[in-house]
Amino acid sequence: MGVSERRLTILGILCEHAGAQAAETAGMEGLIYSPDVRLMRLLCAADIDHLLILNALWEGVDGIFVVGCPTERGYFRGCSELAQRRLQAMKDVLEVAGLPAERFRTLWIEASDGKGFVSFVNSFYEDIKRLGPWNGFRGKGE
Amino acid sequence: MSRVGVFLYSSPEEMGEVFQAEQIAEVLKKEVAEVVYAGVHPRLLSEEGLRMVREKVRTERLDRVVVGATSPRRYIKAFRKAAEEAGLNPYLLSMVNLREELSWVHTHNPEGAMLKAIEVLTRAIQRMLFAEPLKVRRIRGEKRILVIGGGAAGIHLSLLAANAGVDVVLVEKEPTIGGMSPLLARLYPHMEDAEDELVPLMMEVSQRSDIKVYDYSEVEKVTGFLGSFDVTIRKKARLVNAEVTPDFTRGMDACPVEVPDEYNAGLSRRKALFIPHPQAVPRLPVIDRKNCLRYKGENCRLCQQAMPEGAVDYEQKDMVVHERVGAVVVATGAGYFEPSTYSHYHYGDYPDVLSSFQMERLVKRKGLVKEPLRRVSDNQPVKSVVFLQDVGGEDTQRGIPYATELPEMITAKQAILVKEIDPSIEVYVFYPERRSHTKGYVEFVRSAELKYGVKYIRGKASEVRQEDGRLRVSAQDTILGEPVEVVADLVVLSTDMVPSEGAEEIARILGVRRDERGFFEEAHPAFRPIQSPQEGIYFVGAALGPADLREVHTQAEGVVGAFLADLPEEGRVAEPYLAVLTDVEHCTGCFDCGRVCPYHAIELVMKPGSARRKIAHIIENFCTGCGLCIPVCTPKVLDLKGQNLKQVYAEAEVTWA
Repeated sequence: MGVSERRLTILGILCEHAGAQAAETAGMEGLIYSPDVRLMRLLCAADIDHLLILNALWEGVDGIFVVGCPTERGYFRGCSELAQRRLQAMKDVLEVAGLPAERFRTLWIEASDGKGFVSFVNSFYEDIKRLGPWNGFRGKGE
Repeated sequence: MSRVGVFLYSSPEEMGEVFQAEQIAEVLKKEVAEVVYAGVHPRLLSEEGLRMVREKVRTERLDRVVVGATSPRRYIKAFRKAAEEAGLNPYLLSMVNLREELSWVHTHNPEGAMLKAIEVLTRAIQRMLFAEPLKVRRIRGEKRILVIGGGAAGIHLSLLAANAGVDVVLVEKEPTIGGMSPLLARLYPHMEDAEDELVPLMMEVSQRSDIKVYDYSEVEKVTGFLGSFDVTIRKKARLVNAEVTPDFTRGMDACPVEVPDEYNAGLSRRKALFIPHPQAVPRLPVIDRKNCLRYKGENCRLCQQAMPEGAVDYEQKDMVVHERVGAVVVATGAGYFEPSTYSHYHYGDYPDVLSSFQMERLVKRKGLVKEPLRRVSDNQPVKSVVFLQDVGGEDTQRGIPYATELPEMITAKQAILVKEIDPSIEVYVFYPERRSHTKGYVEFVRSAELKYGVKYIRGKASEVRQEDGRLRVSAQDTILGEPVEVVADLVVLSTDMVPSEGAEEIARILGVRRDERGFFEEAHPAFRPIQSPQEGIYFVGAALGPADLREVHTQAEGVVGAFLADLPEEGRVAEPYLAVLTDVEHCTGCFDCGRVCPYHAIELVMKPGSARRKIAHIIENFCTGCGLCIPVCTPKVLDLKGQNLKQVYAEAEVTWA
């Protein structure tokens, strides 16, 4: 990484179950991704407050993604389907709000799929790099 | 201001070169105001590390602790206990994974890894600043289980559970409990009479007041979670009233339908109005709607006419009942692979080519009865029997992709039984390879060969054909490398277990998965071998894969033990996550939270002191703390204890601060 190149800020929100475990599996398998990708854990992907994602993009996070349990195999009853519905709606909200929906992505994955996790992270990272830094609306129009 | 302590795992072998623990500790001490202590230890994940945490919590008067090491899933419990021993609330300690989520995945970028480590820890610290002291929750549940399937596995399990003080609701889809096991001749390896072993247990199940049996019934719907499942059961109409008279002989005699008797492996025939077998529990007749002429559009009333008025009731309706239980056990058993794809063996074509279950019925002898073994085709005495062991095993083309020791054990048992009936009968076994491995099983198979004189030939039969009224089996002896041909009166195709027909439907109803073979899938093959990934659902016996009674017993004991440990008297242990109403005044009573709660843990109640306004109320004992309700609350008066919104925002905001 060159000194002049700005580090990207990519935030991944993982559910404690499949999401966090898939990230751990990736580590055990010795897979590699950029440290510009930060991870935080929530109990469930369906717990995510819409305002959190709006805030992140407003404040200029370059990319934000959510990783949760696979369809019909959610840790909590029906949580994956609920999370998918909510976050799909989130994409529409972002467009209406004039925020870049292409900087928000979701993944529904098995806990054992470390490769799937890393290939998702890497392709999202490459796409964000191509889009370039996003400065958000921080301090503008407030 | 808070006093935060940070503990970092500095083992170079474990954490790798990119993780410079000392440097990171220095930066945190300097840059995060609340950090009053930051230390490293190369053996943090050991008792030395726990001691370090205990000591520093005391000497540095820490009120928040962040441990940076590996997966919290495995290690956080020990660290929380250590913090508690030092007088800190265990939930004021958190752990972040800097190994699998950092040092191991960023080996190519030490500079980036360093910056990220500092940020990850800063985020964890910010999140902890808003953490509240919490206590582990205890959630009570029903000390009662639903057992689906009343075969050998379901019966053993029900009795064990009842003996442990757990009430049982046993649902069996067939008209009798017991399954196929009591119809077997003997049980290996000790050769007990199968009927004498199982029938008394069937009777005990039906006599006990703590086991409620729904025979001829099906589970239609299951909702809920460990501790509280609601079950809908359909009790199918038998179309008879046994209160009118216990004796249905005349009705059965009058029935014009004759179909192969599945309880005698199709070797004899039964009526459409029938009692499954003499030891059936309950010993009640039933009209089998699949075969009765009335259900094929004909107006037959012969059984009704032959019986006293009211004994046969074609209008009888199914009944739907509801039960509440704390856990569900799947004991649906298995079937046997039908070797009809092996057309060169002529199963179903030559009457003297038999399945294992048919052979079991032929060699069944009670007590002192000295009846010779006879051919199925013409009733002539048998002089020679050939067993083809494990037809279909490990054959992805025509058979099943797996193989177990079961066909080998069943073959050895039946070979011994033939020799016990008449030692002069020649018995040959063609086997693909030796598979028995369980304690005592290898010796059992050997005894068939050495003690009883059964001839074992390694090799697969290429063909069974009929010649001069007898069967001829051709094969290749793969040890001698020579072709062999043996004359037989009976040829027995022993096969392995395959998933039961109802498995797919039960999996759908329970929302659990099956493995690639079609058996139910356990949560983990080694650590949770009898549990479903969904808490409160367990498996026992052949529902999980080919299993004999030894395995059924082991698993049944395991399931009862697991249930008692998962749901003890004082309630199951749960993390302190819990939905809470933080602002009674501003709850609008819209009930969006309740509609989205998958556990029905939210109800509307009258607002205290108001005659009209309703507000949400969380039923603590039902709330699993999943948090699904939090984002739908428009006035933002709901929050999740253990992961409150302030914590989540505090952590996330570090990213863009």
